[in-house]
Amino acid sequence: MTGAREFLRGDTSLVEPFWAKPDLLTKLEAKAPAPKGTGSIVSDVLRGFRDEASRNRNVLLTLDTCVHCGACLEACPTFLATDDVENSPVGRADMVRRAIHSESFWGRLLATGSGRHRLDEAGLRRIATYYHQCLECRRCATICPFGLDQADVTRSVRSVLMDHGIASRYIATVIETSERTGNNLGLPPAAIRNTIEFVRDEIREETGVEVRVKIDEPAYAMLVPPSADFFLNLETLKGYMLFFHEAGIDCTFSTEHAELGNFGLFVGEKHLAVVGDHLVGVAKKLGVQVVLAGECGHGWRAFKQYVIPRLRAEGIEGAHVFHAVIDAIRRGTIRLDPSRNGETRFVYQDPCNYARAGDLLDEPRFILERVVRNFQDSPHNRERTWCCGGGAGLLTDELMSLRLAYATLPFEDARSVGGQQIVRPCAICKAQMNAVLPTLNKAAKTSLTYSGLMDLLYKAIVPSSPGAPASAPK
Amino acid sequence: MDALVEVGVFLILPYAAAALFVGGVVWRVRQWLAARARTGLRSVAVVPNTFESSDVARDITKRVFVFYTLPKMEDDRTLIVGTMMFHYGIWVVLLAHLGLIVPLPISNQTHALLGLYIGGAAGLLTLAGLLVLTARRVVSPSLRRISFFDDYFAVALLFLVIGFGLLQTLVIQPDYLNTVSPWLVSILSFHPNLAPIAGVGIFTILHIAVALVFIAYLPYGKMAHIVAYMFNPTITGRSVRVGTENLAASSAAATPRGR
Repeated sequence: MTGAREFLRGDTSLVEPFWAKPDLLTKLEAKAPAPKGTGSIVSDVLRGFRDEASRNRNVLLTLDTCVHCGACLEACPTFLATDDVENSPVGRADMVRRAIHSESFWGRLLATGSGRHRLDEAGLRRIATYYHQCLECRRCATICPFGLDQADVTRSVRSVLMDHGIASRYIATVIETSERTGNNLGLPPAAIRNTIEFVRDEIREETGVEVRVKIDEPAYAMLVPPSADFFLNLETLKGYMLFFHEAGIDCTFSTEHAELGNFGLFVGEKHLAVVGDHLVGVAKKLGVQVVLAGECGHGWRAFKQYVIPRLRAEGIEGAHVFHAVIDAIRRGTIRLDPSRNGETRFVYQDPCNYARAGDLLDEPRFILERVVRNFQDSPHNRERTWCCGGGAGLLTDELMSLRLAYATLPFEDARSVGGQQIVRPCAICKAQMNAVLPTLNKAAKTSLTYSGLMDLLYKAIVPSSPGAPASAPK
Repeated sequence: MDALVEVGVFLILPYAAAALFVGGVVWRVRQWLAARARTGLRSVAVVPNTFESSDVARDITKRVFVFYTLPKMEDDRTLIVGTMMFHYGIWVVLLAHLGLIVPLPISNQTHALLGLYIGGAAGLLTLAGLLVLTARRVVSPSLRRISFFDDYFAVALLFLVIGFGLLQTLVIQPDYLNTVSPWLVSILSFHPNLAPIAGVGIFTILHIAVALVFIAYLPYGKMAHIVAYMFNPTITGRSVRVGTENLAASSAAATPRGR
């Protein structure tokens, strides 16, 4: 029993996330205090919206100067997959715009024709529901002629809602777990060590290479993968470990901060900062010179746009593991054989936060060209890439009907070019693919698979150790 | 002409519209500049690999002159077509109106001919673009759902201004160089002289009156988009540069493996 609600095409108003209970939000407030309420949630949220609009220029401009041209409707996967105008960038923003404008005569005049004005609890619930259907993929922002970024409006609106007790249980739980344990899954240090040692043994069995691994030790570099790589994406983890060994890069894992993902990003800035600052503190403690990010789209955005500037202030560099791989390839410190990945037809699909928020477009392609023989871009690629359908904290069972609908866009994109394996180097993409591909494959009578990029690098590396098996790992 | 209308439209309205316009722009820009937060991120740039001011300048130029973000849409081409027709048309129309206040080294007869053919063609292009955009808004159920008073009000004013303007340029062809032009120069130089414009036709009055209302309204509604995007950090912001160059020391620091 997942609790997932189906929806009728054109109306997704009933597909809500499970909402966080007050005690969970109280725990979060201990780390990042919320403003005091007045007792009326509607007026508190309205004041929060107004405050957010007055301090955040993108929010202000979105609410004030959007010309309703509808370009974002053509771009938005949540609208295209559901046909519900309110489940769209402009539709969502209009709900907030109406609520704010209902407070003034001029606002009411400009918004005439937009239906109900005054915000009430039902309207508030509707806003919360639709703002938790947004994937924060920023496709709207790249299409908008004025660069209005509705994904960042979603982050702001969710932040205000969370301040006043309305938050997705899934997002709030992950943030609380991450702030308490240093990773989203709540893996204790012993479990992380066990997984790394298990993977080290697997690498030895598959390649004959005895990789040296550091955990919580001083090193030149620290790798921060998404915690899903310790649980679901073990092939990706093998890729990191074999790569660092073969490239001779002195690198450590941290059990204290074993998470690139930062769900704080999905709900504004407060928890983004709590999680990001923790990572900076751990890097300082370990005395590393560089922190490398693993395969995680939103985690990379948070890392690049929040953590790296703070690391640099401490004299520590930050980069993506792909940068280290490219560096190693250019220097010739690793040898690659793309034939080890066979003749599979790989389709590369950019994770949203790499392409539209992380400037990571050419790097994965540089690596792919050298680790597989047969790959091509998805028809919607680079800034036009489709979200996997699980971004922004939607990777939860009760939203499965939406996730399946959203996922048809990248799925059909891959199918249209005869792809056999989708490559999406992002933990959320991979978790989403893991969940939706069986259903989509069954319906389409296909057998598409998925992987990350470090997984493919793992197979393509020609180990330097004597006694390595001649064939590629299976 | 009724003296009240004359004073109202040609003296009070221009300065009232200018005051509302300037006041509105100051109010809006102050609001925009005061909002400095960026949801906690160093950069919220929407265009990948925006690292230099030249990247920002190139992006803004492409947005303004070729609306480059729009053609990425697969299905609906009416937006890009209507947008280009309307905006290219109105830029020429606005430039042509500068001829009313900037002396040109051409005869009045040539000026009038240029106004008729170039101004008229540009006006028709603008009108056609506006028709495409409005038809699109009215026909599409999704767009109707997201269109409110502000959207229709702006469109209505534009239809009236352009319609009255075209009626004069193409049909009535009044002697605007000896009536409107000296009056406009007198208003702009703060030495208002209503004598030249006394006795102009009703459509000239209507064109000027609606245009002034439109100017007054510009900063207050969605028409502020004309300049607003240049204040948005999503467009003007520069991203954090990260690349292999940041790892220049990595291999040097790497443990030698005797390869």
